[in-house]
Amino acid sequence: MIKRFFIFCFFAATGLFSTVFAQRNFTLSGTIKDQSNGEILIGASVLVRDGKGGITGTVTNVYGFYSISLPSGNYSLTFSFIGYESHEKTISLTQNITLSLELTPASTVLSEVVITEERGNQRITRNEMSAVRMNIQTIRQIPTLMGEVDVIKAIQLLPGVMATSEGGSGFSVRGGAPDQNLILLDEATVYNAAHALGFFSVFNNDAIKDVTIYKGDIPVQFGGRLSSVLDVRMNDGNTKRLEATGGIGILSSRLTVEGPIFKDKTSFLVAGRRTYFDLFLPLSNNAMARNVRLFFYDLNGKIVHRFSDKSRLYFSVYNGLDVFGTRLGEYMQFDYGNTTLTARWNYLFSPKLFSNLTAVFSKYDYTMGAEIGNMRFKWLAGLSDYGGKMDFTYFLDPKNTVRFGASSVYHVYRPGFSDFYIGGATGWFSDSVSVGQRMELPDNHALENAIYLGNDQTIDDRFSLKYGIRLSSFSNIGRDTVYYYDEDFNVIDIVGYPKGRFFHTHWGFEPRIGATYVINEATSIKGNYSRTVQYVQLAQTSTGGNPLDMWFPANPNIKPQKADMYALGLFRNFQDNKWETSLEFYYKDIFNCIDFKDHSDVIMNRQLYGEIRQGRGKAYGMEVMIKRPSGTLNGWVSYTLSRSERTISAINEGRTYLAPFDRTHNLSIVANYQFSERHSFSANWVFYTGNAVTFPSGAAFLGGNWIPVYTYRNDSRMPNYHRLDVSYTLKSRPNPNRRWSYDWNFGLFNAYGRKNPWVINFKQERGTDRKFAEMTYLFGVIPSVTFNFKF
Amino acid sequence: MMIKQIIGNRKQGIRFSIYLFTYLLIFLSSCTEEIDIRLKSSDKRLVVDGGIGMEPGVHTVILSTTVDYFATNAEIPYVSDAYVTITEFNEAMQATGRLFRLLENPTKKGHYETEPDVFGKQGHTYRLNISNVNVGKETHYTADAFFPYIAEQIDSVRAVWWTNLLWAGILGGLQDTARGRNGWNIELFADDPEGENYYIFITYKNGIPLNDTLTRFLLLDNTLIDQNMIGLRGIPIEFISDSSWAAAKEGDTLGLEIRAISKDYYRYINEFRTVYGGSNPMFGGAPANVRGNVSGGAIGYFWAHGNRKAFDVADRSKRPTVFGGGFWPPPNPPKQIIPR
Repeated sequence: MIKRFFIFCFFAATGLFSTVFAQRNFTLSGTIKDQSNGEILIGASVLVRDGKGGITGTVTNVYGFYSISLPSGNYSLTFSFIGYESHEKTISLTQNITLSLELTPASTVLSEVVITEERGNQRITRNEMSAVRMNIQTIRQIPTLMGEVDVIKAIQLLPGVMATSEGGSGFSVRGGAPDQNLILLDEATVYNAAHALGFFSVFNNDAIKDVTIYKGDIPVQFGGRLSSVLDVRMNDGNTKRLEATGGIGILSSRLTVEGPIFKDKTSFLVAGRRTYFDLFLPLSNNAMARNVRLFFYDLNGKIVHRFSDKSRLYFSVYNGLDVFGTRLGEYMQFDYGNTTLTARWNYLFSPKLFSNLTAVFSKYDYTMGAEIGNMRFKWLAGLSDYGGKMDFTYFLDPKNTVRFGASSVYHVYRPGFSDFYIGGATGWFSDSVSVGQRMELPDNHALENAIYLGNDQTIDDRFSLKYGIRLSSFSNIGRDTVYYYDEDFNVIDIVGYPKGRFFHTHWGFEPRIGATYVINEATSIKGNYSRTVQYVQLAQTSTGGNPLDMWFPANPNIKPQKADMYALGLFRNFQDNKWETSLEFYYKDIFNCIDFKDHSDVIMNRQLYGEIRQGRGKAYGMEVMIKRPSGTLNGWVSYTLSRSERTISAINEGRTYLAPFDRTHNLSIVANYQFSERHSFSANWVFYTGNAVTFPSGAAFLGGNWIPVYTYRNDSRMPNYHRLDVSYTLKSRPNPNRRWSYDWNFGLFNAYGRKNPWVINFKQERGTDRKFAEMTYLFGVIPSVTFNFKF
Repeated sequence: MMIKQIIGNRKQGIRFSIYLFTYLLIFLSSCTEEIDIRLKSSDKRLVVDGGIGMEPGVHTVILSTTVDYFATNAEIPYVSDAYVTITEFNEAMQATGRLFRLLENPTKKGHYETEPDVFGKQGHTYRLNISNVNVGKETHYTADAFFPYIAEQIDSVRAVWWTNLLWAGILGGLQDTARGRNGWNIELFADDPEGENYYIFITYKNGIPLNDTLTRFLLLDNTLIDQNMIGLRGIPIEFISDSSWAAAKEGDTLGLEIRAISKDYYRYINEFRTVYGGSNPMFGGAPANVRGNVSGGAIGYFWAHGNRKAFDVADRSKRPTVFGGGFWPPPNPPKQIIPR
């Protein structure tokens, strides 16, 4: 660790020296937006030619801001972004220049002219790997379940990312668990990104602008999760005119209204989505179905105010809820949802120093209640985050971009509280003696802090480096009661800590280093090492995923999980960047990896920490991606060959076993064929090896019953999974004199009706001793129709 | 009936709700189908099933082996010709000198039986020794079982007639006897000694046990309960519905058997039930073997425990016992909303 620190110091010093000896530089900076609606463009590229053959460039950050320092002189600039006309400009740089501009959306995506060489090459030269940015237009083309455009389902088609269950929103990145992904919506953590037990994600596509997943090479400003960061950004709202976008589908309807409050100064966006599946249930001839209440909704809101070119304020809010219940003689209800609030203030101290101050609030909770006869029962649980972040980007000189900042989050975990009441039910209790039981697991409190510093340094035309360090801490704060265990997990001591006492702190030292070497214009090789630390995890023993999330923090009993990831990648573009290919290898070493012992009990267990075992984990793999980003036929093929395993001495007799998310092969083919301006056809096909599961190998006759006998944990596999989805989109006739437009989308999910097992149960035939395997599958062929409009 | 049980196992309430939701979900969206799955073949392991009780008599230990999972409709592979003994140890784990030899019943393969006058004693530990078997990696297996203390835990029971029971029997015991709303409730009058205690309850009708199997015992413990519920006078333990297979009529003799078992055996039964019932796809963890107490990777359990019984004649004129200061008949209690 000390050695790594010295390496870091060395690089940092190199970075500083290069500025000391630099000649006089000026800064070119600004914001790039969409001309049609004023939305900022994330990742738009700025290419600078000095006229002597030298080319340099940068891209806009998540706030559409770019800054580049250059020696004085004349430059020709090209601003470009996928799907937009590129813009050329010549400047004479003799002082700092602010150059903000708006790009015009390309009149037709069919025209391959807009695919400029510069843009395509960016992927090769950029000092970043294992990250994929998807804009919402690409995501919208992908056929989906019931026509619901879904950010997470799109992410699951990328190499190294896989769905953890059929149709589910949980995803595993490079062999990690679903709780190792940090999901951010406008910088606020979304703890449960799933609706309807996972079949849909919480992101309403009309309100989303851009999605980036970091599967590795995680930038220093992010931390707290081992495997990945999914950074989802909401639209800011149209600054030019009032606009409404919406859609009517078989599952849900959406409506988004956005527009300027003060032209070019303040804009707003309000987006809503609600399912109406439940409205048809009363028509069912099944009594059970008639009494079911089942719906979810999402609300997104945002206000952006521009004080000046230097100062901008953003407010984002999200609220979503799932309601699931029944009234069938008895009453049951199960509600769960997320709420996030973000306030951000961008401030440009100088053209070189960009800052962002963020305040976040995030909440996930659920309520489960039942009333059966006179037994009543209610269970509440959840968690909340209150946090602040400061983030600075210092565009030091053409060769160095320094990023530094700090963050602090106060976590409150409410593991649960249940109320149980029986009264009057049996005719002999009176209320005065009714039996009421309240079981409450105390809240846990923790403070998670981090500071970070990193530099992105260009050494020469070919070689660039990136290095940074993140220091994090996680403190448990009283009031709390901690059970201490001996080696056999018997309770040896119970210690109560008073309110406000910082009774335990874990520290994390997270160095991250990366390098890119450009072999030629179309080829580069990149390498990366990153350390990530995770202090909170989900108490969940199943792979199916359910909304009963219970996050529990590291404490004196549980050490934080740590991962060291090494990645190496080869990137090559073909045919003038019309084809992009990449090949990445990764190896991940996980320390203090968490799993649950056999027959563990995680629901409402005061001694939850006694159910947990820690050990080592290992994941490695190869990811291949071949992509044609645009053109009449566009799409990608991704293939992952991987393995993920765990070795925990107290589990599986200490033998190494496969992680539940281990999949040997994972192949996705995503294609979109635009056969005319109005008609397009999309298809995706996925294939993956079945999950590692524990199936019985034998049976024992005990107490008059046959019971299954298992050999080792996760030593069997579910059958291979494959599925084809198709969709066809018909757009309205383009007419520049008309404000409104629409499109129809017809889709088939699981087009050839593959019965993919969601779960396999082993059963005994009634009346005999014959055992058989029974699979439950969720989906047959599911057609969908969606009508989308905009005016 | 099982008010006691619900309170003792509140978590089961949570689980029950979870199951109901899952089934709702599956009902709404899914289909099932039998499929062909090739399972790994398992190494043969010894299966031990038996124990020693407190009443003098023949005590049996059954030995068999595991079979491949899909081979359960073949004959049960009992293990013959084993040398089986039980040795008694006192509280200080010193051999008391009592040693029982179990001989294979010549007519029942794999069933090893003691002499007819053997009994176990409270507070002692019994060690099962099995040798001369050629199953799995070992030829010699042992298991230790502690015989928990059992006080005079049952004073008596009362069988009383209940009508219009609004809620009954979702959770356990005689699950399928609880469909109706009228029936006989068996009330228990007993003591629950200090400390952690674990119990099995078995219901009797006219001398015949109704639920004397691992999967259908009523299991109770006093670890989660703040007040000493089992010690309550007249707590309803079992409800025999009038419209169930076990329906009883006036004049039948109904009763309860209580067995005080060790914490480890209690855990074993719970695990056995989980494995037997199959795990819930969304909420169950990785399936795992039921951990028994026999060495050498054998499956199964060797237990030692005592029991008490009490009976009462069903009589409709009897009033339910009022406990805890309540009164009879009760007023209609207002619906109470549990605060959020």
